[in-house]
Amino acid sequence: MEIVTELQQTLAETMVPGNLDTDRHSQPKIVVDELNLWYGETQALYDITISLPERRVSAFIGPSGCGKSTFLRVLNRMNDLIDDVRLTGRVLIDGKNIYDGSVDPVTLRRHVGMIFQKSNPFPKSIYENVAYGQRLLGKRKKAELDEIVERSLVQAALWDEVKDRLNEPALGLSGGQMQRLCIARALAVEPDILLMDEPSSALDPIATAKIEELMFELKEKYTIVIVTHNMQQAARVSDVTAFFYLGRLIEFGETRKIFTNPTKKQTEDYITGRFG
Amino acid sequence: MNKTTASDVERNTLTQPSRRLSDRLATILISVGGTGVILVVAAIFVFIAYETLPLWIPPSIEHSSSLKPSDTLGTLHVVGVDEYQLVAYGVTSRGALVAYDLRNSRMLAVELTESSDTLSAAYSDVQEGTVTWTTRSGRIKVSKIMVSRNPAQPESIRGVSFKEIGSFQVPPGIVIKKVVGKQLRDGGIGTAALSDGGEVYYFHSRTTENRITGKTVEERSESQLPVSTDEVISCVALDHVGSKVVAGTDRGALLVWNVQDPDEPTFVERTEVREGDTLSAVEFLLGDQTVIVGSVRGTVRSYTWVADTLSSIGRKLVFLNTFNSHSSRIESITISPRSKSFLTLSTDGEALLHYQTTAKTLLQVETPSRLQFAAFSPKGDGIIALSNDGVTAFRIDNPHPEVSMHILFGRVQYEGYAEPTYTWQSSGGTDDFEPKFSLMPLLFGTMKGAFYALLFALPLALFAAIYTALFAHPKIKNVVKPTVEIMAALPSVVIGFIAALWFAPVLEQSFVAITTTAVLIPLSVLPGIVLWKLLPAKLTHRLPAGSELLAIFPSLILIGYAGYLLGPWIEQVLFDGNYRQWLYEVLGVTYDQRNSIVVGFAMGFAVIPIIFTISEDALSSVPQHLTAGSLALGATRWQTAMRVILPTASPGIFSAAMIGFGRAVGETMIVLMATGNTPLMNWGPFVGMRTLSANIAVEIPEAPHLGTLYRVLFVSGLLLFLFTFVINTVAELIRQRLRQRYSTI
Repeated sequence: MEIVTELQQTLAETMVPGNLDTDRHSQPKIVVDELNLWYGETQALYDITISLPERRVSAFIGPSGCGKSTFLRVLNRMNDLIDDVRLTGRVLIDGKNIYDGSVDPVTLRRHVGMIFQKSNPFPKSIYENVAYGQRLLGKRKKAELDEIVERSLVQAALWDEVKDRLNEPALGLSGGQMQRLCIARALAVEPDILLMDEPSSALDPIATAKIEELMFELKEKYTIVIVTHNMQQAARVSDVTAFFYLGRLIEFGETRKIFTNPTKKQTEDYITGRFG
Repeated sequence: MNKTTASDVERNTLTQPSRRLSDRLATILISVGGTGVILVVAAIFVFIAYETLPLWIPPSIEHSSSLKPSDTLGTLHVVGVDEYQLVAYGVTSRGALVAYDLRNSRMLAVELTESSDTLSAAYSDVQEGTVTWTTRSGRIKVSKIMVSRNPAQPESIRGVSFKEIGSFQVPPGIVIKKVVGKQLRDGGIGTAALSDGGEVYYFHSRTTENRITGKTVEERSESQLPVSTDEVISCVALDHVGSKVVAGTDRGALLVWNVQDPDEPTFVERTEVREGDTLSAVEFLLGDQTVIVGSVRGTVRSYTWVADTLSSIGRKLVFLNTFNSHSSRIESITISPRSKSFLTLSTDGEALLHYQTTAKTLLQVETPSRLQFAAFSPKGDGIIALSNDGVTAFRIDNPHPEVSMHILFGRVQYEGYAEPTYTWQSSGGTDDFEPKFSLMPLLFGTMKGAFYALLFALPLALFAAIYTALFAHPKIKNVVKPTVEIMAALPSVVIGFIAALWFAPVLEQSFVAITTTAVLIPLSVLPGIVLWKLLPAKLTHRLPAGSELLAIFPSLILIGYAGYLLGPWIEQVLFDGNYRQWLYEVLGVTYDQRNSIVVGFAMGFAVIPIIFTISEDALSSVPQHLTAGSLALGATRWQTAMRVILPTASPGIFSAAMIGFGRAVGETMIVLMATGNTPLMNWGPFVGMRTLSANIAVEIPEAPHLGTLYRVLFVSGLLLFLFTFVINTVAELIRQRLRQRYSTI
């Protein structure tokens, strides 16, 4: 019970009251309908139906192996790259089923960016990392690229730290900087949605705080979906929270409600640290 | 909490020493093994280098014995020595032939022939052991020394005698100032004599025995050589077969006569060799292809005959080398009977030993008093010198005069060559052959072979690696990778055998058809891919992954057949029905059956597995999260492969190419069998090559133990060793860096 009170305090500190009101009027950006997913013969996700609000942070929590990361990867079709993955149901982004035969996963991923648990800058310069996505699209003009790189780095709150060494290798940055670089890289292709798969689990508290601050700013423009193991983080940054357990969506609702007054016993047990 | 019992303590104290012992043993074993390997590699290197060392040791000369001949018979004029350097012989100013034992100065034989007359000129030819001399009264005698010895013990001399093998008479009133006499290759005796008045006489005699009647017939001829200039002839030389007489004049020209028909000698050519200088000595070098010319100013040069289509006689004399000069007039030139070495002796008694091919002066012969004459021993391993003090014998240790850095790596003008070339020709049909040890054609051939192999192997292996690592279904990868690796297990002798005996003739016969197929395959795969993409996605998705490969195989067979059918037609249309003739007529290129294309294919086949395996590993070990990162940014698989995976894996791919290159450089059997082993320097695809490694294999039967060729082969082995060592080290260093780079990602 101590943890719950602590979480409530955090929530009280971080959440702006007006936010919750606007939340109710926010349009659903992603709608998932009756999603089932199998790895070969093993079913990993069962009957997931959920709709995630636009320009809000949605957090997925749950114990390891509960399917939250798998579900995140459903949203930009990264699971396509794994053999023997099969799914049924519909995933609508802006009302369009992304698993429709006419949707090109490559184009989809340009609109649904992804940040990984382990920062993965390419072994190139800082500049080239950020410019990578635009270069893929065939953009070559130096001036335009410069502008995009600067804007993305500013958005990722990294510009001031790296503006003097854009041509140095990205692998020379610190862990937190690398992760923000990956965010800048994802922002550079101007996505609508940012998927974050435990973006700060490998970072120290200061770097984590910076990433979280960033999320606050980013959600004004982007729809963010974050998978996290860190419940304080979910409580601090997210507007809505979904709790997954054994491949099922157990509970979904406003973060405050999930953390203060969960309706399901499993949710309560998890957030109070009885298991997981 | 736990109570430590006595037995526990006991067990601890018991097990620890044994553990420590095994730990230490393992440490020692591992370090011994590791350093042992390094030591062995270093030892191999040191051994190879050691075997090449004698090539670079400067020649040395060592006084072996001297004797003081008695003056009662007159002073010695010229000397010679037998092949064991035990018997010194010569002719004295009073025309006496004498022989001494060099070990104890004992006189072994003496023969007085013209006791009343004094010598006017003399000549010694150690190769046949002959002495030629002429007296003031105009008599020319050629005598041969006969040493009879115990065959089992060459040191024990049974007896020494002189045999007169030639005797000629100069026209009355003429005094000979220079004479050359030789026992010719056909057994005849040839003598060229230069008179005080500058006339040259040629004498020849030959005794033949009728096998049936047993009667001997002696043919004799003497003639004066025709001279058509007003120059004064100052020196004269005769070759070893009795075909040419060469004379030097006071205006620095060489005159050449053909004396093959001794009754009617003909003047052949006059070549200006040195303007203004009076030539004072001339001599044929071993092999008779080159003459060494010395002048009154002490300069020494060599000239050789080269083919010349413009000349009426089909050849001309051209300048070859300049040697270290003497400070005074060159008195005599004597040649080594075994090598291209020669000795020049000047008026002031300075004697220098030169080597023609390298144009180097190897050493100076020094005697306590002024040198008058010096000659080689018959084996070329010693020098017998005549000075005011008497006769001195030297041993020279000069086993490898043919080799220098310039010979191995530079352009050298050899005897009979119009210009400096890089030539490898280690042995010839005769003993007087000049070995040509340029390693450049071999280095070139090695590079060329490796280049053509990589030209074929690198794209194939790389694209195969990219396909299997990044695009193929894991099931295909699991089949393809071990299969390609098994290719490496195929013995290279089998590949070489197939390439040389099956592929080379097939390629020669249907070169156009095979080339057509090679062009058709990529051209037709592209439309194939388009067709595949046009198939409805529902159908292709339902097919098992990798079935596009199955579709490729029949099309490849079809294309091959199409090439086979089209080939003759294309040859007819483009190359007038015979591509080889077309190549020769239009491009001036000859088609060798064993050529670079065959080698490229065969050796390419041998290096594909290693390049494929290493680059596939490099590509596969690019961390998955980089691929995911790129794909998540909306990159296609191809873009991800080209922009992220390939650059990240590039050091590994580079090291794969390097290791493949190293393998191609060191490869022996394939190049030995399929290149034709022609040491040419020509990048052309239709000619063969000879590589360093194949050269070692080819030349081993020709290389006597510790001989020059043997050591030169070790030099090439050393080069090969260094080459592969450097390449593999660089490749390995790059691989290490790559691993480091991955560890930070």
